[in-house]
Amino acid sequence: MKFTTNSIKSCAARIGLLTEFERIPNSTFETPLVLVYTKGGCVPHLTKDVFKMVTSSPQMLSVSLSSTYLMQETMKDCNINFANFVGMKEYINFLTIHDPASTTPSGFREPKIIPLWTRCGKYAMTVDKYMDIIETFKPDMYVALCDGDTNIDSSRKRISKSVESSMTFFEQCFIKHSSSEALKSSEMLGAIEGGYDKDARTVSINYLKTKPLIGYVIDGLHNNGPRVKDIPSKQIKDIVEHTINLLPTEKLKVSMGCWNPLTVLELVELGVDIFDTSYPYIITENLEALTFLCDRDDCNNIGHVISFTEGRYADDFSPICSHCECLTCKNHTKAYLHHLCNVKELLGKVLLMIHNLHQYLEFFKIIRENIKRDTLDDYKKKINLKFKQNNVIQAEEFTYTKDTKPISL
Amino acid sequence: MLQQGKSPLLFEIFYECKTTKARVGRMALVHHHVDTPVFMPVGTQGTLKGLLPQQLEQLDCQIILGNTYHLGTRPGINILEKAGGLHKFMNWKRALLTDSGGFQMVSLLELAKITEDGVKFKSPYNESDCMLTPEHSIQIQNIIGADIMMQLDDVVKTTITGPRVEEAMYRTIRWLDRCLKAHQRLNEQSIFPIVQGGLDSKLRSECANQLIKREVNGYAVGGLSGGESKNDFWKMVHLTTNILPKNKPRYLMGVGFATDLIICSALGIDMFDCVFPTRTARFGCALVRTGQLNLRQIQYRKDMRPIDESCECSTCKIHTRAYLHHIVTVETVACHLLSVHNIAFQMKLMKDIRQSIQEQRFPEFIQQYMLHLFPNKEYPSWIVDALETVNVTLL
Ligand SMILES: [Zn+2]
Ligand SMILES: [Zn+2]
Ligand SMILES: [Zn+2]
Repeated sequence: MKFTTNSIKSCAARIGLLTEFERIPNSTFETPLVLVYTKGGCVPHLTKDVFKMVTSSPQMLSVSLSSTYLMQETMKDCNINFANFVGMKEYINFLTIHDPASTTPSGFREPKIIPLWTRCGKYAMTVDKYMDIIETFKPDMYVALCDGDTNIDSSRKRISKSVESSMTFFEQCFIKHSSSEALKSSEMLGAIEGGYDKDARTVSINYLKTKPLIGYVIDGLHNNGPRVKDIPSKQIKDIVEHTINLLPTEKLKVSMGCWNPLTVLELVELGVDIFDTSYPYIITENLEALTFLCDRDDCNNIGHVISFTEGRYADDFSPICSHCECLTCKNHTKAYLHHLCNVKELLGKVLLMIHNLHQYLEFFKIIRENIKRDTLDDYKKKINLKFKQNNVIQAEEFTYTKDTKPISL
Repeated sequence: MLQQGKSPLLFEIFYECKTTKARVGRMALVHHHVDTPVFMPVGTQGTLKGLLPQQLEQLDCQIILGNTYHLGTRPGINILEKAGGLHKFMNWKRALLTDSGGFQMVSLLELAKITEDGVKFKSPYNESDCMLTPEHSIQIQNIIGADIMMQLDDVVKTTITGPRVEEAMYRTIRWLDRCLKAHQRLNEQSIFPIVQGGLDSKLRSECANQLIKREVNGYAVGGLSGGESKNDFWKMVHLTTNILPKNKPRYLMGVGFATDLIICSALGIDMFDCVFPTRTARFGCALVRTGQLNLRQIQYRKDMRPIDESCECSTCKIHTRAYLHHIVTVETVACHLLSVHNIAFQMKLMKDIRQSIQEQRFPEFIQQYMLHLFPNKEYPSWIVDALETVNVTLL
């Protein structure tokens, strides 16, 4: 695998190219790239044939060990790698430890162990166990075992502990990775830890930047889950800027989590190359549809999302956005979506996921175009407006009833 | 009732089995044609268990069901009327069939009471008294706009006997006439009367004989998907199809297990529906020729085969039982994958039935199917008896 970028400035939006994947040699991806979030080996709510209706381009999938760990015994005994086991072999995959869309419980720390949270409870990951699993999964890319259990509120002691143990984990993972026959086609990334403490970040970076790695995951900024979308850009800007300034410019930088689009743009401007689609997934789970992307004058949506728990869409027979090219908007109305959400039918989330995923993939296309044209700053201002307007509307809407009254026979 | 203009249902029979009463035909409906014998998946609330209309088309579904009671409650007839009917509301371009709402009401609402006027019930939302009359049922179904509508019938449990069954049967006939009179869209929709009469041969025959005097485009056989014995079940089907005119489609309501589909096709039924294939998918069960696999079971944990090696569906082409085992009841996708397979299974079975009838080898098809299902030839007696009456002897 190879990453190239023409960027010479650190901390600037840039275009990069990922090429030469061992498993799928002709796959190439332009960065800033968004990984398609998966859970249990599938894009939430979308069967593979439906996912292919959403996008026919090559995609890179983000896979969390916490949602797939229970499959590893079968995979190992049947000698099958993850991509084949879940039927997604034509997609490049990127394995992370935790699920970016669900909150990782904090604490439960023991020496030499990272707690892995699955739907069947907690499993203790040692380096040996972790690397064993990685050899079974054979991911195209993965992160070395790390302790990223820090956030804005973490104590200095917790932060330095996380940096320290992550360095030890990395050291051991790196030895195993380098000598592993099974992982010859896999790339291991290092996790930069250090919470919001610049000194701690510097320690972590100074250690990792000497290693022969394709790139880094900027970890330890949050504990995953839906609340990440509420983190304001200004909270992370300083620490990420500090981190990226110290990292080698030519290396890949990854930031996982359901950052809201404004924060994504901020991170892109700081030089982050890879994100994931846990944000549109979380929006879907809230029965919302993303509307921040459309900038047509005749667009009816003023905010960044619309919520189908609101009764006002019950008889709205227009699509979510008449300019959206997605399968949902081309075929279905807000009234139908409202009905499906109201009666809790599975198709509601299928259709919302299709639209939200489509919007988010488009968002990244637009980001790349704007970087190439050097207009990202203007674009950011436009998007900012959509988010501000939504807040105003939300405040005014307190009196709105949540559900439509069902009409009896 | 006078039919004017083009009929909304033209039924043509292409092949008849020389041994059994089975036939292969095609209904030309306003929205789509339907090859019979057909299985119709049930999409209760204007959607079929998470599947897109595009997926249903790929599965070769030509007609699906909607439930009038559910649709009338949510989204409600006002919304459906504004949408221009259910086809437009859910963006389904092929054929639709709706029930009358009566059956759902009687089975879902404890307080439903049947009077000569209609079904009296308390609204589940505001406790007010409501009444579903035959006229009202048709009015709602006219708004929903399905290609085929059901008359409101007086439903009694199949286990009930005595004068109540007779009363219900005669009332069903009276209600049919009220339904036909209330029908407003004669060129677009057809009403099917429903043959009732419980498990009493005389009442069944009387009902069927009365109904065939009405000018309609097809008939339904009702009240046979409850807890009745299989022996009573097939005899009622057999007796009814003997009376119903050959040139009209016959719909056996609520029946959809593979064995029943085969036997009742042999008895001359053309249409079936059942929630079972999609409902069972939700609980992690996949249909196969020998019954169903419960993929939650630990035995599938390392089973690297598809659900069915010979199945052409996208689920079987892509996924193993082992993978499905790990995601059933965890990811909604598992439910969608099993629904795809289970519908594909039903569609394939009906296609096989049609093809074997067309090629005059339906008796052999039945023999092989039953032998596969009962390899030690311990056939249930009702199957043996039912097939004997249509001249098929099992191997
Ligand atoms: Zn728009
Ligand atoms: Zn859309
Ligand atoms: Zn299949």
